[in-house]
Amino acid sequence: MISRRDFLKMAAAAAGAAALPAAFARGAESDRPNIVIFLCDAFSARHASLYGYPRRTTPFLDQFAEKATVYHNHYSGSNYTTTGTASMLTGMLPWKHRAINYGGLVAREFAHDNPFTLLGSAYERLAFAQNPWPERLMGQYSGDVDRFLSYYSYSLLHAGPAQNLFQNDFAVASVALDDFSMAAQHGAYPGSSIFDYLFKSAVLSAPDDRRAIRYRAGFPEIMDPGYYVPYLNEEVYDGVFNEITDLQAGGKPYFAYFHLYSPHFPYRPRNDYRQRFNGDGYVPVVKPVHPLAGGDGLSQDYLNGQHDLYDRQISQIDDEFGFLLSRLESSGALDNTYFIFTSDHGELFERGFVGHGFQFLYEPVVKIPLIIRAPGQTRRVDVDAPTSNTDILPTLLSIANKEIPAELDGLVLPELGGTADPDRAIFSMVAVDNSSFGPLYKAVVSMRKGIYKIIGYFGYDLEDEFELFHLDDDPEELNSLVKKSPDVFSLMKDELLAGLNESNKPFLR
Amino acid sequence: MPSWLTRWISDKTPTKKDLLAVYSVSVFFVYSWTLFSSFYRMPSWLFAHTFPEILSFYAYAFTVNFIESILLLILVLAWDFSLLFFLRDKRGFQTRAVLLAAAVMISVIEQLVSYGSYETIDLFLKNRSVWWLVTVTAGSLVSAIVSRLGWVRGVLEGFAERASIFMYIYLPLAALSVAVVLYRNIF
Repeated sequence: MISRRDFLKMAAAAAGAAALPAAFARGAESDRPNIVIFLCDAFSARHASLYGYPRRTTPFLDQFAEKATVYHNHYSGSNYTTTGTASMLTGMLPWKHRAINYGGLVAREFAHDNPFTLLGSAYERLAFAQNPWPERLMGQYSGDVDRFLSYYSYSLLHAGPAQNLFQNDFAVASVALDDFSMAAQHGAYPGSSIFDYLFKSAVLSAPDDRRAIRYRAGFPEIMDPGYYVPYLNEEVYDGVFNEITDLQAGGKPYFAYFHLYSPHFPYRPRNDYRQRFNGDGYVPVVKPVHPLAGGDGLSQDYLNGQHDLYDRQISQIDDEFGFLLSRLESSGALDNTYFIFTSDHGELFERGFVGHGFQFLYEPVVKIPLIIRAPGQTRRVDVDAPTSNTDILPTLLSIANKEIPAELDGLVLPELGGTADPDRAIFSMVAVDNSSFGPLYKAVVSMRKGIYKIIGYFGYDLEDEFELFHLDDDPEELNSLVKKSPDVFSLMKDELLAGLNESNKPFLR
Repeated sequence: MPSWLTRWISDKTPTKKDLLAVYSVSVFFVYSWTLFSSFYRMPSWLFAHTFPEILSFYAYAFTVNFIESILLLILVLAWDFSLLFFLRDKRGFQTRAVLLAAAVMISVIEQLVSYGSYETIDLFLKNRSVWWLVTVTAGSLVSAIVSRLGWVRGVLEGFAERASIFMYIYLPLAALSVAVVLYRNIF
């Protein structure tokens, strides 16, 4: 039976579609294709049925992929938002762009390397990051964004953040106000006392409303950096549709970047998803606790519980994505649009650890989905060659016929103008404990090359500084081959260290 | 205005010197808290941000502090004026105001620190009214009683007087901070 909400959505979609043809006709006059990046934060490719996950978590993504290019070995430059997103937006590896600390910023000399600035004013440019950290990254060039939505947009809170007053100095104001003055929620001492108290009282009291009945375990919330901002995916996805509709109506080619928070922790699927996958017999592989997980790590029961919740959250957003896609398709909004579905990093439920960040670079936390539908694409294309999210920016520039700056590390993606290189070295790294102004002494760096992956732990007190895995034979990364395959290890290690040393050179002068 | 009313208001209104002393104490509490908490952030700031950026963080924080210090002064004055007649004594204004400002700041900071984690959101919301009931009651009584003790009055008035040095340090900093914030956002 059709629910009231679905009926209203379909009615709105029909009304929107009826009102749009004239606007789309104007949009079609331009030769330049529109570009939409649709990014779901913390979405691990390893949890998507599209990529072979046993649970059917993403039927609508599977459907979308039927007329799109699917990249099967796509890696984030890092394992958490700031660094991973900065890699995608700058087309550079973290050891170059230097947004390596939680909530950090891209080095000033590379801040202009971003899609908004490089695509230029020929495009109408929209940025909406529900996560304040990527919002801050884009705040470094907010002058090049035509419509810059705050992370509060489409949330259950109607109060705008204070830094809306400071659009010309967005990035710095965001750190000063979000991270410092009003950031008591993470156990840190807030810089402001009275304002923080008033803000906290207002923010935390706000979300009690009738919609709570559909979320018995609480609303999903944006948790970084200062306060937990509740939101509903239904309303956020409606907002995305409305924004794209408005851009279409504008008649100008557009570039839109949507960085949506779900399925990021805390995993709070709606009630009707909370039993999904119960009793389906799927049991995650149990892996030994990593020495950096801290003590005995989290219990396997807890890990499995969070794992299930995460899958349910993904399942819900897949449904929302499916509904959004059907509306966009029926309205014609995708006819002249490159639509890119991806993430900034994955999520981990193993080795005594839940979440992302910290010092882990195993596949579930760095392997992310990348599905790109080109205008008029009618069949599925699968790309197995490893790719990096640093490839997104050069690919966008290639699509838009713009010059690709020489300093970018990324390459144009295969099937979109680039060539597949199965032996290309793909790096990911996390260096939150390292200064962004110095050489990387304390960092974890991984390199995938061909079927092998090496992980190096630098500056950590570990018995084994390196791990080496054969990803075809050992996709769960359980058996390190450091001692068993010394030749491969030596080659991989040398290349990894060469990359690291090269990146450190500018800081050693 | 009838003269009796003028005299009554005058009797109840603190002098300019009193106001400055209380404002100095407000400034001391508000800015000192910010400086104190900033020391915890400094290591991560030094990792991730340039020196001009860090100075800009302080500029924003001190701008916020400036507004907060005025808010605190207004709050304390309103609280003091609302004290029942028998609790009030013009001579003890400075003492009461210092104690009331301290009560507000302690209550605010203690709540922020005690209920700072995600798990304590419900407790924070549930206990807010109790916290303020206790703060207002205890603050009113203690300030009214203590302000009648000569030696305590001496100590607290001395503190308020000495706190004026902070006003002369922090207010120019606040002015500079406002200028920096304006500059960064206009140019």
